[in-house]
Amino acid sequence: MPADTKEILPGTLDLMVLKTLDTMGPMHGYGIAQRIVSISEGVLQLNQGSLYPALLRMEQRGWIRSQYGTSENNRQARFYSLTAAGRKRLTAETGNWMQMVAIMGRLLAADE
Amino acid sequence: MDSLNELLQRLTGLFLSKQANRRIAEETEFHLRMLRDKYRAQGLSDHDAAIAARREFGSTARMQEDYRAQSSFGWMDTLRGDVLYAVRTLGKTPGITALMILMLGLGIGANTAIFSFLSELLLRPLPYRDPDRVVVVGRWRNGTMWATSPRDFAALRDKTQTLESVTTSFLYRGVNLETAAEPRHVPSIHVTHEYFRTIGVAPQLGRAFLPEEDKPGGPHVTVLSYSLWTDAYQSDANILGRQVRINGAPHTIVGVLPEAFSARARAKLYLPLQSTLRGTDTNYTILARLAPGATAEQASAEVDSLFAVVDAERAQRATKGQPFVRTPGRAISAQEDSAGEFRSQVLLLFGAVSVMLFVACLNTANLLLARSAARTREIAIRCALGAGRGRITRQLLTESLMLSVLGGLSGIGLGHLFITGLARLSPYDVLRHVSLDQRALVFTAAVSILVGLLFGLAPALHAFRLGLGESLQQNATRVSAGRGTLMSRQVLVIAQVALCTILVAGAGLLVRTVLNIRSVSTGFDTRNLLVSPMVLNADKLESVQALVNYYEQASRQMREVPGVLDVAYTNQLPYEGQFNLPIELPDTATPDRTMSMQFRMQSPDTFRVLGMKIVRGRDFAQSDTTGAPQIAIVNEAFARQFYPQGDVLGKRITMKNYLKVPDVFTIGGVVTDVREMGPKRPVPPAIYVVAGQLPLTVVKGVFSFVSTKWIVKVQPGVNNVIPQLRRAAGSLDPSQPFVEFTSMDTVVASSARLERVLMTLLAAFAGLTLLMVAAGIYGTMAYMVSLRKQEIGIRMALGARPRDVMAIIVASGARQVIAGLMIGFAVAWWATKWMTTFLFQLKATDPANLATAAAILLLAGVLACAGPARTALKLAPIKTLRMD
Repeated sequence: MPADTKEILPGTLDLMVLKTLDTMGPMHGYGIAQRIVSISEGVLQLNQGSLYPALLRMEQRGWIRSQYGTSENNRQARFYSLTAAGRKRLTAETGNWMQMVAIMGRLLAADE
Repeated sequence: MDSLNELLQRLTGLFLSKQANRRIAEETEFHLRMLRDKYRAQGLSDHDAAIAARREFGSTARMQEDYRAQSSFGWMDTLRGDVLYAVRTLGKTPGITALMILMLGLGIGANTAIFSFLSELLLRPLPYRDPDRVVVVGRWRNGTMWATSPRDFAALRDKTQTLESVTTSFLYRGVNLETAAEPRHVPSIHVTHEYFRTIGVAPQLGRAFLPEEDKPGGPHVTVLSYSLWTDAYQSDANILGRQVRINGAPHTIVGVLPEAFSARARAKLYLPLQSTLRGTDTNYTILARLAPGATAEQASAEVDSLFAVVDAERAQRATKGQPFVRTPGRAISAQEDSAGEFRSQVLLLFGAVSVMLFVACLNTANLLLARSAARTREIAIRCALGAGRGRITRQLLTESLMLSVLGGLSGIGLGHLFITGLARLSPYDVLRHVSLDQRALVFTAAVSILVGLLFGLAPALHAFRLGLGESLQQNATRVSAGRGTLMSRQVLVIAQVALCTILVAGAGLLVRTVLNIRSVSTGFDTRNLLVSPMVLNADKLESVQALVNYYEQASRQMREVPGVLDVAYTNQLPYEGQFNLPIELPDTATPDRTMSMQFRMQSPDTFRVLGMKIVRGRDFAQSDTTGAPQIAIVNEAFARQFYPQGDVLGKRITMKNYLKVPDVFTIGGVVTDVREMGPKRPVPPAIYVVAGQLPLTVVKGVFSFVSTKWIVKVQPGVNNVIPQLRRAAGSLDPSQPFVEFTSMDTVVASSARLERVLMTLLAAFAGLTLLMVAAGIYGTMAYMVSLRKQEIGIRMALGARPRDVMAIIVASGARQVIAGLMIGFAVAWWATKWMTTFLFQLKATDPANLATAAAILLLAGVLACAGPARTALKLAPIKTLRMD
């Protein structure tokens, strides 16, 4: 693993999962993990195991739902998809995140 | 709303956790399969693909913990896991676990039991209304409250400003109460009419004594205690006004006291004092209630100034030109007075049980520490597998907490055992109703839990400090431990030995003190003595000779009982309290000539029967009768105090007060002291005379007030003579058929001298602590040796003879013990100095004591080395080498 990998910022895993499901449609856990790793180009160090407790929790909170489906290589897998509440959550969280990024950007860019 | 929803989901999560677990496992399985597929597609072998997949997936343990932590009530889940794990770990070493629990239990149990007793005995409020306002008034000499005279009382009662109410009572005594069923000998007390008002206790039936009933020659009335009312009169509601015969004379019952007070009062029957209040004999106890706003200090000052007036009058009446030594008056809280006598022993006892708890905690800590070293690797492995530090710490804490809790539980059990055991052994009725003190239990349990937590953390801290790699490696290379760890362990052993030296030396001093005290001769021989109180109806007596004849006849009848060796009588048994009469010593050169002194009247052969030795002069003889020269025998304390030159024989004692014409006794002999104030207290001077040589008024006064005691010496092993003795003693006077014999040992034991009980307890605890200390040393040393098993194996494999190996191990152990002993001695030399006040016939730096302590610790240390070393030697070298 590259030496300069980054730990996932606390609280951002949920947002990543929601966004992935929003863009990619229903996906199984493995797919979500692979997608996050490939998007980050290997910089993010995702403990892939931690994904499942997060998924379970998000389902318990009603942001996503899951049902069985067949994977691309014909395996039985649980597919996760966004609910209406999840979509609302994604919009809100994205707004928050963007605002935070903008603030951090301005803060760090300021020279004086 | 959101949080409520989450709570609900977490709750369902808690119950659905099995399902959730299954789902996570399912998902993990799928994920891993996908990863393996990916790597196989990249050309890896099945085996390598599986490894790569695992690596990419990350720690499953971490995952489960993440899940547990965020879903449902994670802590509840983890707690269950921790507890189960702790039970398994503790169960793996049942011996050590049981030892730790037992030690903690002993410490907690003993502490709590002792505290419960002491709080019952000393801290529990007296059964008075506002007990902190009640004071005892007396004369203060040599750090003790002494009794007062009726004149003292009269002066105080009439003039006091600081006391709201004052009362006085005469010595406790026994009376014959004739009831329907059978005559009883009932403990009784004479009190003034102010008594019940002063202590703030009102009869639950009827009334207290009236002022006119307390005048000399007043009506015969009595107040009963609750227990006498229920026992002897079946709680008869119409008891008031009933006539009962007390010592043959009819008395009217005017009141019954409430149950709560009666249960804790010694007397069962109350009689009005009916005193002229002119006497100067000091047989009276004054109780008083402080006036509103007044303090005990103010009362003390006032009491002393009022007593000074009494003393000035007395000094004037004393022989002209003779200086008079007065004893200052004082008022102290009644509660303090009842506790004060035993304060130093109580403190010492507290000290002893605290030390015991400390040793128990220390031993537990040591065992935990020893185990922690062994568990460093386990912890490192768990860290390596992805367990967080917080998680491991929590696990270890759960474990030590469980130990503490189990120790606490066993402490409650053992505490109950101690209490019931002690209550059975104790001669005091009050102790029969003691229950475990909640506060003490909470405190001692808290201490032990704290210790558990503190030392439970040690292994975790140790492992974290070492870092993963090192602690993992440590065991692989632990053929002989690294220099650093070895050093720190040696320091641990040395420190423990040093500490134990101090404790053992202290405990030894206590045990020796108790033994010394027990070996102090009481001054007489309590073996094979039966004693019995008997109240004479002295009013009927016409002459002293009649009394003597009566006693002689009864004695003769009792002597005829088979198994009886000798019979004597006295008005006051040793250990039964004091009876004082005013006397004057015309021949002494000391300034103190007029005083109230212990005065005992007895049969001529009493000293012989009691086994009291005459050290100078002569014993009483049968010829010392009415009409013969009046002879007194004094004790050694008397001779020392008033005739320090040793010229006591032939000197005169004048008995005053009861007669216009004083009786003069000549001192004919000196008898040994009876240490009835306790072995460590000075013996007060005492005068003994033959009852037959006293004037009739004195005999009537004394023997109707204080019951006569029969003293019967029986052959060893004879125990069935009591019915025959009762018949023999009672045959002369059918009006008093009741004679109850008890052994003299019982009288001594129940003489309200708590000292013996306390000292025995103290010795027991010191001994127990000593054992625990030895066990602790053994545990530590044994563990140290067990760590060297591999070293032993290598030495054996290299051809060392078992004897040599043993010598090496034992010598290194002994070196550590000796180093500890040296340090311990140095500290003990200094630390035991403060114990000097508690010791008896023993110096704090007693060499024999230190030598014994050293021997015990050395023996424990060597045995502890030799035992485990022998087991290691018996194992095949190859086995020890492969261990771990």
